[in-house]
Amino acid sequence: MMKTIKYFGLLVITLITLSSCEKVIQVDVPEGETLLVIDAWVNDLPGTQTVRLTTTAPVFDGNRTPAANGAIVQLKDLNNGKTYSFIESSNTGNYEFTPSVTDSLAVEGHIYQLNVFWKGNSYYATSLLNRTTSVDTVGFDEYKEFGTNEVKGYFVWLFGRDQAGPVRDYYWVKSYKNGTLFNKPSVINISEDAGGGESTDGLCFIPPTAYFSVMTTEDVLKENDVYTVEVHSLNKDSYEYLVQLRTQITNSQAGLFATTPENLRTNIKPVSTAPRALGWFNMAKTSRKSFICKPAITIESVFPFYYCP
Amino acid sequence: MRKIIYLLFLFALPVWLVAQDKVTLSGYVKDGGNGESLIGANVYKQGTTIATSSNAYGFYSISLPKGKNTIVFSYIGYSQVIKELDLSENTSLDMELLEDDKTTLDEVTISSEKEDVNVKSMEMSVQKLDIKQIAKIPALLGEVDIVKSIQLLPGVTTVGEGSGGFNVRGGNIDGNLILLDEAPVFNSSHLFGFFSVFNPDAVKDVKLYKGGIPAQYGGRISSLLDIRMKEGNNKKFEFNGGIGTIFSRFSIEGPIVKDKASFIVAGRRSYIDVLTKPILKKKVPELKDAKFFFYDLTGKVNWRINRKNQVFLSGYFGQDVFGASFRFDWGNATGTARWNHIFGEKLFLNSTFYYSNYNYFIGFKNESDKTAFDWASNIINYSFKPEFTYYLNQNNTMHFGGQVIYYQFKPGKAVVTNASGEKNDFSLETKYGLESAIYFDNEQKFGQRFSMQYGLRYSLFNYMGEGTAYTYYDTIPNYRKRLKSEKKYGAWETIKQYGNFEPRLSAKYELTDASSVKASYNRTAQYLHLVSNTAAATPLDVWIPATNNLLPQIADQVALGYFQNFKENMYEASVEVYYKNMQNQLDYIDNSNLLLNKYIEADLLQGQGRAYGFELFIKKNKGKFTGWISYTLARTERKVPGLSKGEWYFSRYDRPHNMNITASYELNKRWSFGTNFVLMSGTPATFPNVKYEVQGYTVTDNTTEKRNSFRNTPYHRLDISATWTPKKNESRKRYKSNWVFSVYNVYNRKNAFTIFFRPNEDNPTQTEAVRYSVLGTFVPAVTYNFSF
Repeated sequence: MMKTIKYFGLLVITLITLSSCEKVIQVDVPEGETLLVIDAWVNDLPGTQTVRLTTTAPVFDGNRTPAANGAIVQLKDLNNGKTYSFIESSNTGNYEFTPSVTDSLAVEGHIYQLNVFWKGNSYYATSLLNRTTSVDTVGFDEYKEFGTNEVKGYFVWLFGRDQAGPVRDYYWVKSYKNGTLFNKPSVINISEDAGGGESTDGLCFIPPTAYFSVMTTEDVLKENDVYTVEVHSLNKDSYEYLVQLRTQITNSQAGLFATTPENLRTNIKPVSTAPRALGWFNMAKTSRKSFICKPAITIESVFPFYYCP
Repeated sequence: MRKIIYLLFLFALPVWLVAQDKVTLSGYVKDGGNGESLIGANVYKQGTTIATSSNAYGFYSISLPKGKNTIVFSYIGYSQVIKELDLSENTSLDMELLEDDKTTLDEVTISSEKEDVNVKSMEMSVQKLDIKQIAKIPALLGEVDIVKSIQLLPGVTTVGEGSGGFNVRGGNIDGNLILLDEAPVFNSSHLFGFFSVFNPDAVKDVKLYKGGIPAQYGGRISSLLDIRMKEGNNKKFEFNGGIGTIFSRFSIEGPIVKDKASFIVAGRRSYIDVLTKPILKKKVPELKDAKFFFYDLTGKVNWRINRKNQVFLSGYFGQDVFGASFRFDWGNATGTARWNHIFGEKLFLNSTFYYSNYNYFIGFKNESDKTAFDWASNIINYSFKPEFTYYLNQNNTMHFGGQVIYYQFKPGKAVVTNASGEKNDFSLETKYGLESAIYFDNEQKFGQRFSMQYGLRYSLFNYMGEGTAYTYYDTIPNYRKRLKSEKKYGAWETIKQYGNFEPRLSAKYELTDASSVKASYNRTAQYLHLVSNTAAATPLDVWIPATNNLLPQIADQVALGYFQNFKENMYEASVEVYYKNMQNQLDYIDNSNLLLNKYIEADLLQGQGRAYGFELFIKKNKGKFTGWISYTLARTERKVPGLSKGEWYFSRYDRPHNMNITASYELNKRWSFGTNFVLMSGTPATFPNVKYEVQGYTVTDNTTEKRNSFRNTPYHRLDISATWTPKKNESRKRYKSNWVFSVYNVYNRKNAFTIFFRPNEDNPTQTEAVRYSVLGTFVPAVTYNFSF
């Protein structure tokens, strides 16, 4: 199914543009400022939580961006005043905190503030922690390449339900195959309510959340693979940030209809004279479930038993 | 309102003060070969400045002294007719002119002095293209294309190949009023922007107003592209057609009642789908039902009831269809009914009623799990416009009238069906608008050399119910506005009203018989916006009206020009400068959501635009070698609060230099050649200067926060064509045919449409710059044209 669309899309685009072509070229771009980047996505899954601090690098630099070392990173629950310190792990730019059993690091409805002090400048960001939902079950869908009958693997249909009203819910659905995250830009699977905003409030996930954005044809599952799915809650701003991020990193595929390039927004605020910083801070409630890929569990076999009005 | 009515009366007063020692000669000027009315034919008294020209319906009216008059009728490419008339009373005279090549032998040139419209006409910033001229320009895949030819004129640019629409003097594409037989066409493109929707076989006359737009026209701020369809041969049946690389076209025209009523029907269809079907069937059985084509059908009927009355019905219907497991269609439909009536000898009325509908549809259906998505959008409008022309006397010609347009904007009817069969409706409310206008203008001669056209248009727009109006809180520019309140309005209830006076003024002073200076000022108002934040406009872009949150677009333009003809009008040349200020130009917040968003106004920004430039145009009209050179030096900028630090930045379609050379050469009766060279600056672009990582993804940022401060590489292209006309077959005398061989983009230039940045596929931390060219190769094509 997905392949049909993809193939036809390619065909149309090829015919339309007759012979459009892409070529990697050299472009002279004056060097930009070096800015602090705060990548802070904290959730309530058990284990160590990490906030990563780096800096920007020249756009054509081939290396990973440099770590920002020696910062002080603190997370504060503005509702109960509790503070959690994130400590840098041996000059990696990764600032870590492992909650104890008694810590309730992420409480639904609480507002959190991240404070960062680096090279004499202070920054802060706030994030509201929203509720999440979970994937109840999955169905596996055969994937065949065009013109062949050979089953190359399995796609997944997610059966899960959005939390019903009164506010909009936002989710980031992350999928793993045998513990490895599907991280292609096209499968940044984010959803407003069940995938269609207000009019899908309280419903079951609809495509693309339920199907098309889960994995690409290159990453399909094999029988007995372990498929793990996490549903991270987002607040509205974080959801919009991820929409913008996804647009930027997939925009190149749009050719004629690419949107005007824009800088990603940030919710990191510099204090007084500190220069602009980039990145994002989000607090998430997260559910996680794993399934073994069994071809017998088709979408149709699950569907009749899965009541989803 | 009342003031205007008084004003109109005041202007109309001279009507009753007609001098009695004059008589009026009036009638129609037509092509003697096929009965088509000739637009802009000259009618003048020999040796004097008493002159007029035929209007869009071929009608003329001229005041002359009683007694003997020598009247000349002339039209470019036609032999002139000189008539001795002894006039004692108002007289009507229809005149049929014959094309040069139909009346004379080769190599004989007819002296037709009046081919100096360039210098003598009131009009400036106006470009008229003859369909025969357009046909000589080499075109992509050999398809004669009106919109593409316009882009070779000074002051007109596009963002690149395949982009829909065109930009006139720094205006956005939504600022062009494209009229096909008086009805507006909202999307002039087939196949995104590769071909235009106008079938050249059915088109008679094309005129582009870049400035100095007469008061008669309104509703768009940048330009008017006035396309007139043929009426159809009213003397004999005629069949025209062509078999091309991408289209086939066929047209029939002929008399219904000889000299009284005629018709034309013309159709085109692409056949890529037919050609690819066998391949698809074999390789991809799932796509055997794939649809992939576009077509258009144009038709017109006219009936001349009597000398005083003539009616026209014309229609256009075109659609692009793509589909397999999904469907993606778009198209325009227009219908026009017109009635021409002549009151007496001097007052001409054209009443137009039109209907125009632009629609698109996206449908998607998954057979296996029964999920589906359907999205339909329309913009429909109905309009009535009575237009009067009053040929008062030798020195004054007046135009007055009005227009009412009723709009329905249907931004989206969207339904999602999920696996359990339930439907979710995402449809947005229909928005309604009523635009009305009245206008008056007068073309007045002051002495031998100086003349002016001055007028005023008043336009009024009602954004009205039934519907919901939203109000928003003010916020930092470039952030989504928060909803403050919403209010329901009943049908026809006004939500917001805007009114604008639009003064129009043109003046001409003839320095010599072969040179003149002209100046113009006009204000134009537009109550529609095209919402599009992509590099090229897409068929999916939504039109929305001016609302309580969105102000109408307003432009003021001044232009000054010098016009000169050389060597007895063999060459014409013009130099123009212009400055244009545009208010309330639409832009978008970062991360805007423009699709199916009922709060779309919260994501829109409005800013100021300015454009200025210098245009040079030299054209050779006669001889074996014809063509033109055009050069434009221009700048187009925008200033929008919240974008690019609130400073002026270059518009997406800013191209400082733009040069076109178009030439054709007729070697002999068998062979003729055409060529076309385009050279222009690259479009502006925003490039990032740093990269960083978020959640494992490498993203980029421009730390200067400036928009469009870089530029894509310059655009240039050469096209050539050769036309071979075979010897006539003696047994089939009426059958004429030719072969057109063309190569588009001869030297295989890969012009940058955009340069974008992406992570390298193998090493995602490495960002690379990629040049995207829409056309990556030269495109040869063969077309066979015939007529009988």
